[in-house]
Amino acid sequence: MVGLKFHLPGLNWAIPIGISFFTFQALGYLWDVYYKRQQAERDFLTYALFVSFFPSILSGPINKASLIIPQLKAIRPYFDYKEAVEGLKMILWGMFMKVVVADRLGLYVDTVLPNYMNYTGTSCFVASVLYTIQIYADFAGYSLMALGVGKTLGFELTENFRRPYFAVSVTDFWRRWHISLSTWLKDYIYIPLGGNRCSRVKNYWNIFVTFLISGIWHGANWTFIVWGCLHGLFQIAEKILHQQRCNYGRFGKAVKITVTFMLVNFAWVFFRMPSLSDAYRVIQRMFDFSLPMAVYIDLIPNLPFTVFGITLLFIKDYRDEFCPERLPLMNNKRTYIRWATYLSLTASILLTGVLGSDQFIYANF
Amino acid sequence: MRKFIAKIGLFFVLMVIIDFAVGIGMRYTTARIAQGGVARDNYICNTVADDVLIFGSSRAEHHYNAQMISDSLGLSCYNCGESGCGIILAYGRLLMLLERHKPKVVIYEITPGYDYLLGGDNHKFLYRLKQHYERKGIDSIFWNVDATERFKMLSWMYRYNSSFLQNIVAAYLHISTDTGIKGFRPMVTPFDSLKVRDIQTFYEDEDSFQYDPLKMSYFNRFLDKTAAIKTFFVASPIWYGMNTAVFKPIKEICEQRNIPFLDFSNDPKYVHNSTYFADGNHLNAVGADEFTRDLIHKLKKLECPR
Repeated sequence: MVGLKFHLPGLNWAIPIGISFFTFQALGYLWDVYYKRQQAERDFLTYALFVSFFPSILSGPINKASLIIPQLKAIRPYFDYKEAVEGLKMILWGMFMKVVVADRLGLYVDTVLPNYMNYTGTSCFVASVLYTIQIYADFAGYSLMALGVGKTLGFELTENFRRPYFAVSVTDFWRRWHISLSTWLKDYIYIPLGGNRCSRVKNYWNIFVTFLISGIWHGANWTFIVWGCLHGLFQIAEKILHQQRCNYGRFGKAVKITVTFMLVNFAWVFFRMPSLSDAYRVIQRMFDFSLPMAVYIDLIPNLPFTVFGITLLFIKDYRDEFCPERLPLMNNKRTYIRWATYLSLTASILLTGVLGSDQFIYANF
Repeated sequence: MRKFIAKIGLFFVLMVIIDFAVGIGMRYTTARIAQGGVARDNYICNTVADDVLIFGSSRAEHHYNAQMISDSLGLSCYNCGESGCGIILAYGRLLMLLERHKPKVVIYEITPGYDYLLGGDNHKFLYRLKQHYERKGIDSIFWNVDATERFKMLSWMYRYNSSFLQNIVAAYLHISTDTGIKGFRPMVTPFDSLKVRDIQTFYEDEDSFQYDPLKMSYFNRFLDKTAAIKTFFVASPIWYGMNTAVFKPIKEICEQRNIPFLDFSNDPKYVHNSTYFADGNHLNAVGADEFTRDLIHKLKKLECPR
């Protein structure tokens, strides 16, 4: 594997077509109309607004026509105070996730992974874990901001993330990660292929093909294809071993969450590295125990801010997942607590956010 | 709608008050710092009045023993090099410095990646300049790097973005890095082979180099400002050696402006000689002293003012 160059010229034809959020949204509409799940839209402006609705055009979520078109046509109140406030809260937390967590982690990840030859396996492993968190904070942060903008304007968009790293299996992960894409793939690829209403082997094949297409959607590179295939294979293995759900109590759940996180983390290495050989070398380095166990730590000024961002994100996601009624801050009954939260989050963004010229990771897809 | 707009307005008013209060507090805190990077930065921008000034990246900061230069040339010397920084910061610092003092000699350590090659985010070069945003000519550097900085810098908190914690620790807990000896911060660590990169990454062909027009423009502005000052460009030793094709644009500028370019990057005395290095890019204290001696020897030959 090492020393070979992996190019995928055969897929470059797909680039001009633009396998993107925009195309998937339009394709979904086309199939819905074809299969008579959705009436054809006769008003061109309404259709044009649906496919090019500005908050979601760059990086999703991929909205279904059945969700958006009725909202565009409905007579709605001119302004909904509650919705607008909810929308602004989503934008604020989304921005925190993006600039305080994701972009700060990016400083470490972008130092270590492109130059993995200079760093120990432990540093590469830490960088891969941080990338796993970075891509979540980046993409979920963007999606939350898109949803928030929509909500402020009075539109409900598709929920895209539901705390994916608390998933108990890779199958569960895909119910929580990029929900609009996995729903699209399920509705327009997996189910038309036969879904699970077929033989067991055919079902496994359907899962594999669905995630192979998911990989191809992300880019014309073998790394994305391997990433998609890995996710397909993990889910097939879970299905064979009946490990899609968790029936092991609290400790078992914690173990399953950790195992799922590590599997997803392993697959992200392929997603992040520019070529298969690079991904292979990074993994090889992680498991090279002859290297010292030292971790590169960028102490000043990144470490405290990295810890701060990750801790706050973890607490928020943990609370939302396991005890949503406890410790409400942005939704507290007391005005001063709500306002203190808004102000301190904004201050954190200004003081600890990485406000450079970083692009959203998923803007590339 | 009216209630919504009123609350948004109130939020902005409160945020502006907090922003201003934090900004004033941080300005006071920063002024109290007596040691470390911030103190060194304040000294360079507000106080330094030495005859020989050294600019450049960490390779300048760790390679040029200012005391040795001072003793040998009979001129006072200060090392203004800054880790991770290149021509954009150097130009800003020079601008502030020239407001009150004109040095006799400027030595600039060339680090192609930071000084003229394309790549990376130029925002990082603004880090040390944020606190001097109001000084003459500094604001336009921000705007040239990124037009949105004009708006971001309206926030006082943003000026201390990522540095506020370090500043508080340095000012009140007195924990900070060494300010150095006349700005020179020698690396005393032994050679770390883990920090030696794959040599192939350094040997690219001439055509593969891409130049950053913004950095190049600041390079020329820097030279315009030092036109009446004796200036030397230096490429100090590097463990790997260097593909000299990367210096092509600098050599051309030096020829046009009649500026000496002293290239030690492939000096066999240093290349792959681990006794002189702390890592692949940086000389250790022994190497720095040896290199400074070699540099002084060359400077004397080139009729450097004394």
